[in-house]
Amino acid sequence: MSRGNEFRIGIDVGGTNTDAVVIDSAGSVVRAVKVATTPEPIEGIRQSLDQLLPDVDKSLVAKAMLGTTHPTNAIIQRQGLDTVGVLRLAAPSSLGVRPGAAWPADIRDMVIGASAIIEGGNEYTGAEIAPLDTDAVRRFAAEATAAGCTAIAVSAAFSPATSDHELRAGDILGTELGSAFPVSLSHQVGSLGLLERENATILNAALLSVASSVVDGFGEALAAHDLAVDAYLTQNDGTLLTAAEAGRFPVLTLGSGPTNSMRGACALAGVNDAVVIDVGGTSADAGILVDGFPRESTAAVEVGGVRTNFRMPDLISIGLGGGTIVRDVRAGNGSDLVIGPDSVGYAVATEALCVGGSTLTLSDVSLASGRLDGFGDRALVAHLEAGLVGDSLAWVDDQVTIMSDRMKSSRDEITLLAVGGGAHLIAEQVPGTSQVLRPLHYSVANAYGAGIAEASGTVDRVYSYDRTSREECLDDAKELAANAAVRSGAHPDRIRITAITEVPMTYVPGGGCRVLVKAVGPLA
Amino acid sequence: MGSERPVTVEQMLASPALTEAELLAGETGLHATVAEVALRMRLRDDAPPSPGEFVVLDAAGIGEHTYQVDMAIRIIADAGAVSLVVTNPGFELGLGVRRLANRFGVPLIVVPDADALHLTHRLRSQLWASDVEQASAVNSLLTTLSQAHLASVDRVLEVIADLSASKVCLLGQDRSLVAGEPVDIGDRRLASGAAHLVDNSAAEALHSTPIVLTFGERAPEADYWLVAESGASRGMQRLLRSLMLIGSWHLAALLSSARARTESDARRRIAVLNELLATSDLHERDIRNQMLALGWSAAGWNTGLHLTLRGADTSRIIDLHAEVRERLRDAGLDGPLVERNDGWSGWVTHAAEPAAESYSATVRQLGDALDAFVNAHSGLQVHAGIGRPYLDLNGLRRSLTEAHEAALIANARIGGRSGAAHIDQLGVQRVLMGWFGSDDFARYARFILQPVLDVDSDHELLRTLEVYLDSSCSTTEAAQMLGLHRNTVANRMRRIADLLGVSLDDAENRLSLQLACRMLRIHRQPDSIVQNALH
Amino acid sequence: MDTLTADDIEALCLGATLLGTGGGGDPYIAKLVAHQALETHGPVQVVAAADLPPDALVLTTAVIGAPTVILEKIPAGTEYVSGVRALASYLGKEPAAIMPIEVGGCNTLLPIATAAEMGLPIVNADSMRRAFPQIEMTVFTLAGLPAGPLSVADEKGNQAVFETTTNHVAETLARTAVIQLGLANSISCYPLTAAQVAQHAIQGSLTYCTEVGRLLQAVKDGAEGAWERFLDESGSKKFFTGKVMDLDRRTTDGFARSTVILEDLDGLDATMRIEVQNENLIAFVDGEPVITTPNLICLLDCETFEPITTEALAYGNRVVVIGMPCAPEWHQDGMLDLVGPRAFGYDIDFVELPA
Repeated sequence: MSRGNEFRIGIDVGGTNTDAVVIDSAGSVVRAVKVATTPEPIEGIRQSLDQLLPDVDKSLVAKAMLGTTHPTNAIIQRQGLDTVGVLRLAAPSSLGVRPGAAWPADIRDMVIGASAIIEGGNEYTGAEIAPLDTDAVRRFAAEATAAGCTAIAVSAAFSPATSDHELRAGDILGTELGSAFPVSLSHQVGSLGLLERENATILNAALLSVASSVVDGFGEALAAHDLAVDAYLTQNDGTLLTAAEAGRFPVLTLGSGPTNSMRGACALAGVNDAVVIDVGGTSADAGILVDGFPRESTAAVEVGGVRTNFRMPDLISIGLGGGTIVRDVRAGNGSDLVIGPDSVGYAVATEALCVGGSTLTLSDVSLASGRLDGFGDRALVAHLEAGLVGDSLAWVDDQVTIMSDRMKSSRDEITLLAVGGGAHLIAEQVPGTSQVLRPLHYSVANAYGAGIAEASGTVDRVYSYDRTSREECLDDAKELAANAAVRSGAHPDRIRITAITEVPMTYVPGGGCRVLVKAVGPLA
Repeated sequence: MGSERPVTVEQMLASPALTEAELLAGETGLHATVAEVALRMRLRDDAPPSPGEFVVLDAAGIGEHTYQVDMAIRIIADAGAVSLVVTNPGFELGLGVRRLANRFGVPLIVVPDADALHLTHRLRSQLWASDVEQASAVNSLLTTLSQAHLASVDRVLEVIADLSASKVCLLGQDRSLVAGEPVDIGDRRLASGAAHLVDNSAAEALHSTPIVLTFGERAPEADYWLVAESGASRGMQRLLRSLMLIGSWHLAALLSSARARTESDARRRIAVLNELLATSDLHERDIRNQMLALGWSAAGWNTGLHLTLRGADTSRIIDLHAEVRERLRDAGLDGPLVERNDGWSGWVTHAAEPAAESYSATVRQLGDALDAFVNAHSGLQVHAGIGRPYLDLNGLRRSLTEAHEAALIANARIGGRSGAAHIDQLGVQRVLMGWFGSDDFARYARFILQPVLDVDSDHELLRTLEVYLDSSCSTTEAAQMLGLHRNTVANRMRRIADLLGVSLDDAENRLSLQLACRMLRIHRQPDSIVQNALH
Repeated sequence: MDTLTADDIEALCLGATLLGTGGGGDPYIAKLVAHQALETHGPVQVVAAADLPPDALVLTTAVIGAPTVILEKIPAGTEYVSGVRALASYLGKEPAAIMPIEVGGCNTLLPIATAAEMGLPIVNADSMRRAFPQIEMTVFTLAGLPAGPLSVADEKGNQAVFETTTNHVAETLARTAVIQLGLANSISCYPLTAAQVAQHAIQGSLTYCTEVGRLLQAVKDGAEGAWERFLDESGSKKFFTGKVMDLDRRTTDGFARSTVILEDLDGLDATMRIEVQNENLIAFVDGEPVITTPNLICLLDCETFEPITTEALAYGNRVVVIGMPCAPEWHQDGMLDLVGPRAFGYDIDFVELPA
C-alpha cells in the first residue's frame, strides 16, 4: 500500500530541554525546535508544539511520539506517586522475602501501603504451587483500600510463563473494587525474576497517576493544535506504546531518554551498529546499538534505589564531562593530576578558565590542546603546561577506550558515535573502533529517536527442549512475540525478530531453557 | 618426485594430504624445519614431543576438553616441536588458542575431516620420501660399482645418468670431454678445490665434482671433472649431488689406477728407447729382447717420427700418449710411440724399403694426425719430423735422429702453427743444424739484432725483417704476408737497416740476418727443444 | 564472633560471593532471606563445635535446585526448617545447632535464616569453605562420614528422607527428588555429632567468610593498603589482570560449562583461560595450568573489585584474577580424587599456589 508523504512529530522531554521535530516519510527533519523544559512538563510540550507547527502542513501529520522523563523524575524525586497495595501470589513459597524488602525506606514507606503474600503462583513446570486463594484476594482488596492504596500491583511466581493466577486475581480485584481501580499485573510489566518483576510492577502502579496526567496532557496539547493523530509514548527499548498502553504501563517508559538519544544519533549518522558515547557536562554515558536497537542490560537495574529487571538499555556512566574538574596536585617535582569525578556541570559556561572563570576543567584542557574549538578564549588557557594537557587527555582517551571496549560485544571494530556537549573530548581515533562519527543534528537526536520509534512485542518463557524440539520451541516463541508486536501496532508483514536469547537452566536435566524473543516492526 | 629436505612446516602444509587443512594461527613458525611427524592423542608435560616434531593431535582424544589444545601448544613450544595439526575437532578453536599459537609461533592447523592415523602416515611418508628415494638410488649406484666387471668410467657415468635422469660426463683438466654424453658447459663455473659445485646461473643446473688424483702440498687441483646437467627438482639435485660424490670417488680410483698403469708403461718404453738410442752393438741382443717384450719390432725398414709438444705442461705428455698414438694409427702410422721430454718419438716399420715417392704421403698422414689432435686440444701445438727409412736397429736409431732434426727445423720454419716436415725435404737446411745447436751463435745472433730488439718491444720490426728476408727481399710479398701496406714495409726496412747499420743489398748481410732471426726464434722457445734436438 | 546480626550480613554476603568462586548461586536472595529472618527472630548465636556437648546433633541445611527457578520461587524459609525437622525426627533426636555445609555462594546465608527461625545456634564451620557443585564434595566425604541419612523438603510440606549407601548416591537421589519437588528446595545432610564436626569440619568458616568480606569491602572502599592486606590475610595471590576476549558457554548434563579467555592488560601479551563448571575450576596462563581446584579462582572487577560470577561475565569486562588457597582441611588423603582437576574430568595435575 503506498501512501503519500506523511509526517511524524517526535518530542522528547529532557531534564533541561524539550525538543520537538517533524520528520517526513523519508526520515528527513522538516522542522526542529528546542524549548526549555518547564516545571510542569506539559507546558513545555505545548510550547514546543506552538513553535513547531506554524510552518508545517498539519494535514500531513499522522503520528506523534513522546519520550519523557516525567515518570523517572517522579520516582527519583518521590513526588506524585500513588500508594500501592502489593499482592504476591506465591505462598507458601517466597515467604522468606517480604515485598519491598530491599527498597530504600523512604520510597517504601511512601509507596507500599499494604502487602500480602497469598497462596497461588506456579512452578516452572506450569503446575500450581498452590491453588489461588481467591478469598485472600478479596480480603486484600479490602485491606488495601482501607490502607489508602489507590492502585494494586499483583505478581505471581512464574507468571511470565503462566499468567492465569494473575489474571484471575486481577478479575477478582476488578469485581471487588470496580473496573476503574488501577491494577498492574506483573506478567505485563516484567520478565523472570520474581522480586525484580514485583518491584517493577509496584513502581508501575505507583506511576499510574503521573502517567495519566502525561498522556492526557499530551492528548490535550495535540488537540489544541487540531491534530487528530495517533499518539504514542516511547519505551526504554526504543519501541512504542500507544498512549493508552503508556497510561497503564508507565514503568516501561522509564529510561527511554538515553534510548531515543542513541537511536536518534545512529539514524542521523546513518549507521545501525555503533557504540554511542554521550559526553555531557558532568558525565559520559556509553551505550551500544546493535541492529538499530540498544543492547539491553542483563544485570538488575536500579531505579531510584529499587532493583528491577525490566528491559533497560545497557549503559555505563563515568564521571567524565566538559565540566569535570582537573586538579594539579603537586607532589615533589612531578605533576600529579586528579581528574574528577566532580564537575562544575552546566556551570562550565561561566566557571571554566576559558570563559573567565576560576576552575580548571576538561573543557579548558580540550581547548588548549585544540580538540575544542569555538568555545571560550584560548588565550586564557595558554598558560597550561603541555604535560598537564597531555596527561589529562591521555586519561580521557583511556577512559573512552575502556568505555567503548566494555560496551562492545566482540573484538570486531565498530563505529563510535561521539555526541553531546562534551563530545569534543573524544579523540579522532579510538582504539578498537573503526571510526569516530559526530552526527550534525545531534541536538534534536532525542526527539528524532522518538519520532522513528517502532512497535514491538516480546516473550520470555521457559521451554523444555525434551518434550518439543528446540526449533519448534523457538518458532513458538517467535510467533508469540510477533503477535505481541502486531498487537502493539506493528505492520504484520514487516515484523522482524531482533533478539533471541536462550538461557539454559542449570541443574535441570532435560533441556529446560529460558527463551527471550523480541519482535519489532514499523507502525502499520 | 621427491621433495627436498630439510622440509619446513610450510611445505608440509602444501602436502596433498593437507588440502582440506586450514592454518588458523602461528604463521611465524612456518619456516621451522620438520624432523618428525607423530600422531598423539594427548600431549603431556611428562612425555613431551621431540624437537622438530610435527604433531598431529586427534581431537577424538580431547572430547570437550578444548583446554588440551592450549596445553598442547604450550608443550610443543617448550619442547621445540614445530606445529600442531588438530584433526576432527568437534569444537571451535577460538580466539584464545589462536592468540596462544601466535604468541608462541606454533602453526595451528585444523583438518576438519580426517582419519588421523592415515593422515599421519601420509605426512610421514612425504617427510621421508626423498630420503627413501635417495637411499635407494645410492644403493643402486653402490651395487653397480661393487660389481668389478661392470666398473668402468663409462659405466659409472651411465649409472649416474640413469639414476638421476641427467646428462653426465667426465671432463679433462682442459674442460675437454673425456667420456660420457657431452654437456655444453660454455663458460660456466666448474668446481674448484675439492668441493662439489652447483652452478644455477642457467635454467639447467650445472653440477661439477672435481676429481683430484694427485695430492700434494699445494691446494688440490682438479685433474678431471665429473659434470652433470640437471633441470629436475631441487630434491633431485640433492640426489644427483650424492650420486656424483660417490661416483667421483670411484672414478678417482679408476682413473688413478689407469694413470699409474700408463705411467709405468711409459717409463718402460722410455727406458728401452733411451737404451736403444744410446746403445752399442754389444747390447743389441738385450735390446731386441726388451723391445720384443714391449711388442716392438725394428726388423725391416724403419721410418722414425718425432713430435714436439708446445703450449702445455710436459706432464701431459704421458696423459696424451694414448690419444696421440691412436691418432697416428688412425692416420695409417701404426707403430710404437714413446714419451719423450719434449713430446713423443715413434716409428713405423715396413718389410720393404719405402720408395722416396712415399715420403710426401707420410708427411700428409702425419699432418692429418696432427690436425685432428690440435683441433681437439685448443692451445696445443705439435711440430713433427719424419726421418728417412733405414734398415733394422741401427737404421731406426738413425731415422729417429733425422726425425728429431726434422721436427726442430719444422719448428724453426713454421713457428706458431703445427705441422710436419720430412728430413728429406729439408735438404740443405740441415747444414744449419749445427748452427742452430750452437749457444755461441745464439749469443752472436742476439748481438747482431740487439739494436733492433732494443726498440722493438712488440717484435714488429723483427717479424717484418724475418718475413722480408723469407720472401726474397720482396717488399710487395712481405707486405701481403704481414697484411701491411708496401710503404710501411719499405719504411720499416729502412729503419731496420739504419738501426743495424748494415746494407741489405749485400747478400752476406742478408744471410747472416736471416740466420740470426731463425736462431732467435728457436731460442725464444724453451731451451729443451733445442737441446733435445741434438740427441 | 559470638552472634550474627542483620548488620553482619553485608560483609558475609560479599565474602560468600567471593568464595562462590564464580558460581555458588547468587547470594542476593539468600541475603534478603537471612536479613528478614534476623530482623524477625533476632540475632543468631555463633558457636564452635568444640563448645557443644560432644554427642549433640548438628544438622546442615542448604538450597538445592536450579538458580533460575530460585529467582522465581523465592525461599519461604519454612522448607529449610521442615527439612531439618524431618531429618531430626527420622534420627529421633533434637538438633542442638545448625551448620552451613557450603560457605560460598547462597548456601552461606540460608542456614543463618534457618538457625534464626529455629532459635538454634549456628556452628562456625562448614565442609567446603568455597562452593562446589555436588554434595559429596566435602571434607566429610574424605573423613568417611556419610551424607545420609538426608532429607529434602519443599515449601508446601513435602519431605523425603533417604538412607544412602554412598555420598555419590546421596547426590543422585537428592537431585532426582528435587526435580519432582519444583527445583527450589532444601536439603539437610551429613547429620553429625558436635564431636565429629569438631574433628572433621573446616573450623571458623563463617568468621573467615566475614573477614575476607570485610577485607574486600575495604578494597572496594578504596582504603589505603587494603588490597595488599586482603591478599596477605587471605593468603591469595594476584595472577592476572585481563579483559574478557572470548566467552564460550554451554550446558551439558545439567552443568553450566564455560570457557573464559582473558587477554592481559599488563602488556605481557599473555592469555588466561579459565575452565568453568558452575564454579571456576582451572586457570591457565599461556596453556600452562596455574590455579587448579580445590584452590579458589576468583574474578574481581578491575575498578569496583566486586566479585564477578560467571553468569554476569561479558565480553570486554576487565577483571583481576586471584588464586585463593582452599581450606587447609582439604589437604588430606583422597582430596584430589574427590575435588582435584581429574574429579571434574580435567586430565591435569593439581598445582600448588606459589608461596
